[in-house]
Amino acid sequence: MALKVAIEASDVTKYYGTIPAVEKVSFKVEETEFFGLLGPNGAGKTTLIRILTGLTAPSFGQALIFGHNPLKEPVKAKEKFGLVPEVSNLYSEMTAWENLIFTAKLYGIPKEKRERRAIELLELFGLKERQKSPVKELSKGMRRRLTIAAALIHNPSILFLDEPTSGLDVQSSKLIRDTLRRLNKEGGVTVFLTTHYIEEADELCHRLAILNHGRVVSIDTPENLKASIQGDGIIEVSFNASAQIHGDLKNLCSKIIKLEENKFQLYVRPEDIPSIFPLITRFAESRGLKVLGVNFIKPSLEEVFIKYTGVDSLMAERLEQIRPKRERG
Amino acid sequence: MGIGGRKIGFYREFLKALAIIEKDARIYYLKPPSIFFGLMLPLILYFAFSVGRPCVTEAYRLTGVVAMALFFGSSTIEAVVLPLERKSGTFDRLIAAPISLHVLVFAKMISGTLLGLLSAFILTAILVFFGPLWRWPGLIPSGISIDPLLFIITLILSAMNASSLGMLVSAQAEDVADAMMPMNFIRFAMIFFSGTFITLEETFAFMPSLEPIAHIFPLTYSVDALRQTTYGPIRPHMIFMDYIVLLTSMIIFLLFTIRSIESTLR
Repeated sequence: MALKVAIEASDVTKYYGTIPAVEKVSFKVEETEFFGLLGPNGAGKTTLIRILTGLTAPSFGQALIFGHNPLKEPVKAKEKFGLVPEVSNLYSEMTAWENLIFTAKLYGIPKEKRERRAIELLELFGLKERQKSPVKELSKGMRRRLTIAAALIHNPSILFLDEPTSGLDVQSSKLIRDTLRRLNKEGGVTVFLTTHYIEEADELCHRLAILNHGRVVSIDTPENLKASIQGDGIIEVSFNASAQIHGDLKNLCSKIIKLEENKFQLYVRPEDIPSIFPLITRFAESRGLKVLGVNFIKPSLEEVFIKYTGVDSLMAERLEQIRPKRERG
Repeated sequence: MGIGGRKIGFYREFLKALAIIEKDARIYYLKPPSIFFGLMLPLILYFAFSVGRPCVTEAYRLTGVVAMALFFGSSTIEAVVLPLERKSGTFDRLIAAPISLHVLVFAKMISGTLLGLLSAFILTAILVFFGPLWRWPGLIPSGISIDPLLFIITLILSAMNASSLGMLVSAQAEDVADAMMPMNFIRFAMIFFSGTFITLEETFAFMPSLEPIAHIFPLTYSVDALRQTTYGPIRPHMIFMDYIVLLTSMIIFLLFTIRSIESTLR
């Protein structure tokens, strides 16, 4: 049986004033798919997720959730999904239990069922012991887990998550990733995840869209995305002192990324790979340098990300951490 | 959908609205801005108007207090709740839930109405109890003749109207101060020009040509209806007109609130 289209974006465009935050974005996500949206800061990830969930209207185009437009048929569309926003939006004065019960009431879940479900979710996310604690007394990781639990209270078919593990400790991030994987694999929940953690996207997603400056620049499985840049070999070379790559060596490379003063990544066409090694040696000798190491690097999703966005993901993560929360979008 | 299905749908929406009202009451009624702007400020204003002023008659004192407490209490809560919920992101939780914006706005309006009624009850009780200390006429002021049904209708309509106004002013506010500043400007203007503690003739004695201002404020109609239902005489056509104005303006405020919230989603 053919799978239904769970999420559909058709030419979704959003302008803030004259600046496009999202431009002509189109894609389909099938039921039970784990779909990731990868992009640097300000790429439009949060705007797109807000449009898909009906929190923001697009300037042009439309979003559909199982065929329902969240702006025109909000109740039908919104019953189908749970949303985990970038910043946990729980009622800090209420306890973990009260937050879950209140959310369940918003979805019209009967008393007995909502209480049973709340217990299940508190256990699933390791929050049973803290169910009577006000949210303001919970750690960031616990609040994040509780936000995800609240989004799952009505057993949604789709779960939208905006940077779910951003700024969390390793343990909480792992628990969240494992739970999401299980929900998708065993529960058949369609997951739509935005992240700037490349390993997370690589590890979890069946398909990925790379968003840059509001446009989808590539969309495919992580394997195919990596294969798409197989054309260029990446050679990482480090010298014993700082250097600038010049001359023949520079001419042979399609792109050079300086990782440190003495460490470079050289992007080379496959047919040029045999010639690059003697060139590196010659370059070092001519400048009185010693080659400390030469590694041939298998293309990773990070390379794909850099190729399509031109942004070093590590820098993206650092920027994300220092940027005030309200600016993120 | 059949009539049965519609009834179930309506009942489900009603329960969702009830959950929002209960949550607002539990979290926000005891927040400092709610207590200050909803209870303390009308109490202070009452003293500012009435203490040592023989011109404030017994009838105006009681209805003035009730009208002002209703007005401040009802218009305060959403001016506190909406900005706080926007700031914390919890408003998005409500918008992302399968609940229509009409039901959401209705629920919020009712939670404001309830705080207004509570505030009026508490404030009147305080003044009645401690009244003799500042020449309040006593537990039951002389000359009072309450029409219970019309009095309750007036209380509810006035509170709903004020709550809707509060929502409209704070529909787009991102901060409590952003909502409270325009809200207080409107509230003070209304308290002064709506004949809350003295008659409209006395209010505008210095410039009678300004009296039409009073008739654009819904509070004027609340005060008039309250006075008729507590001290009489009840003039049916007048009280009917008061109710029509209160209802109509409430509907207008609510519709504009919905439109204003919708515009924030764009």
